[in-house]
Amino acid sequence: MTDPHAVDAATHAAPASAEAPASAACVYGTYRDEGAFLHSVQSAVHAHLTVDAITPYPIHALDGILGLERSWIGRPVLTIALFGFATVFALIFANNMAIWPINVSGKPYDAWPLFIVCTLEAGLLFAAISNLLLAFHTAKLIPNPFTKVISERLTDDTFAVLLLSSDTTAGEAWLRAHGAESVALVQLKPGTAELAAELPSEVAHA
Amino acid sequence: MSDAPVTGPGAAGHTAGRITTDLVAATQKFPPIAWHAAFGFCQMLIVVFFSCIAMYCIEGYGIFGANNVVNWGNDIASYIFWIAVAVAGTLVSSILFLFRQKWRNAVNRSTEAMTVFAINIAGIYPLIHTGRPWVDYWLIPLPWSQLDLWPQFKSPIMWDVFAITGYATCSVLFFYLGLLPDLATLRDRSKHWLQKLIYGALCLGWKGTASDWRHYERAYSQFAWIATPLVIGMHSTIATLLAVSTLPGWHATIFPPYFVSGAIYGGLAMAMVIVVPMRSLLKLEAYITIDHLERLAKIMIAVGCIVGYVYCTEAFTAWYSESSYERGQFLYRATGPHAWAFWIMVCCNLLPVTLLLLFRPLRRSLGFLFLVGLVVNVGMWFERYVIVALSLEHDWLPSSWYLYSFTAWDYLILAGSFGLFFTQFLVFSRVAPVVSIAEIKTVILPRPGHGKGGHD
Repeated sequence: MTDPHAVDAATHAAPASAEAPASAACVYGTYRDEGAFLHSVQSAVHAHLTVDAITPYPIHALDGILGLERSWIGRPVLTIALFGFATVFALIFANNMAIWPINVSGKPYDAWPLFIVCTLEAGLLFAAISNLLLAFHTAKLIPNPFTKVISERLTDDTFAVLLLSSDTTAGEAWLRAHGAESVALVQLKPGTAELAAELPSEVAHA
Repeated sequence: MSDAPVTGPGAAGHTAGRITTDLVAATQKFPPIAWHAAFGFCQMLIVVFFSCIAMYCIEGYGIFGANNVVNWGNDIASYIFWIAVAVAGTLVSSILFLFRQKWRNAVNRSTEAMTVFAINIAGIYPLIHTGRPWVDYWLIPLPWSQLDLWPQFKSPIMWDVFAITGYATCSVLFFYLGLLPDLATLRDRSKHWLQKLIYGALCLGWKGTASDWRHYERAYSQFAWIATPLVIGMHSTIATLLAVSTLPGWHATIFPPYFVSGAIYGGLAMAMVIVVPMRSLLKLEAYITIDHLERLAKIMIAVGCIVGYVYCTEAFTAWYSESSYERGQFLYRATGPHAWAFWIMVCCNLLPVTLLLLFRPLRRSLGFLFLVGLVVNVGMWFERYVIVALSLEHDWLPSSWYLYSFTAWDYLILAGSFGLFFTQFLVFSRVAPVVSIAEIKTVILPRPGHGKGGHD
């Protein structure tokens, strides 16, 4: 079974060409050993191949090897949080000054220190929601129960190196030479990074 | 505390596949008899809980013991108790994460779940307390909902609404984000088409590319940064709600740190009550080790000392303030008709932890840790009872002094709330791994060139 996004990722994480060639294909090799997998990714990057990797758990060393920069979602979340603080404070302020001015124990209508708690809590809520939505957006996460995956072991104990290449034979050979336990090929739709055909439902492990 | 990962007795033999198999097993095997027995008992308590709410809706708030003198009784004491349970979950999931305590991976999923389940129970109590729950939406600042009347944002009650709503939402989102990679694992391990469909929808098509993990980890870390001030602010707000009143026993500047430390303390005790039996029931001894529990116990000792210090401060302040009302309130708590509640609070909260947990063999005894968890939970519930009810019983005017007592409905709804909490946790333990599969692998598995636990 295939996951279009999994292959699509190969086009944006790669240090080499970011565009899928006209009749591109994705070749992927699987590894059970983390060391061999990392070595393979490193070699692919050094060989200027278009590469991405799938792992069952986070491996920080991959970011450095693939040249991935720190995630960009920090500043948008901060901006939305600040927007949340300002908006909620303004609404509460307007509410107390104009919409529903009420004398509470002689406190002034614009007793702004009393608005801080609601402002803080609501602003942090803005930040939390935007943080989650941005994480979903960046990882292209959408509720789709029919998502197909390259291999069901990629969330378990198997690592995959994906190569996007027009020369699939060379890609296969390259992966085998670099210790892949199994190699499979996926044809992509011409001019896109979308899969045209389905992969085998399970990767055959050595 | 050491940053070294704490791994199980069989850690050297762990493989990624075995970890997945062990942790997914609970969701795929028929649960043991003990699980069914606990689930059945908790279901009974849930029926009791919702029967109480139904009776309250039919008969009104008068079925409970609270009245116009002690107008905050069981419902607000229990509300603060459950909120406190939730706070400890955020301590483990966020604050220990920010301090890079890798050992938290063994218990963070359980405590995050505890947070979500406790806070939804806590949220029910103030909604009941309003007396007319069918118009509780008036608490939300909606321009069309209240005939042009707005919530009073200068009121700490309103601060509390914002704090709880924000914290509850954030906790649920944080919990869900943490679950995503494991839901994908469950999707790929499921044999039944329906399970595959449900987990497939819930994991949102998680792939696990390097880029995905990069964004995921950043988002997770940011959630920890967001949740930490949120949780401290939230419980401080509840404390402020009491402290800004002038009532003797409430009007104390020490309340916010008192409440936060007490919340962490009580929540960790609840974590012990949950984790110790669950560890045996689901056969997770290799993942939740005695070392992990001992570290939780050490945090309990530290926080228990802070709670003990606060109790002493309350006594000292009552004496040193030379306020007859403050002294009167303290003496009423310690020697009045409800002194038993005060002394249960002191004995349960301070003796087992600050004295007995100091001994290493006791700290490493599962049975003792479970017992301590139960005893401290009793103590912490009585702490809220003493603060809320006893202060109101004995206010400024002798003419308004009143002895608060529970009705049968108070007892039943309190027992039912525990049933609701444990039912949620029992169900959770059947549908999702109680230890984070992806996170625990980064800690336990040997890393190329780094030995064990190569991740920061």
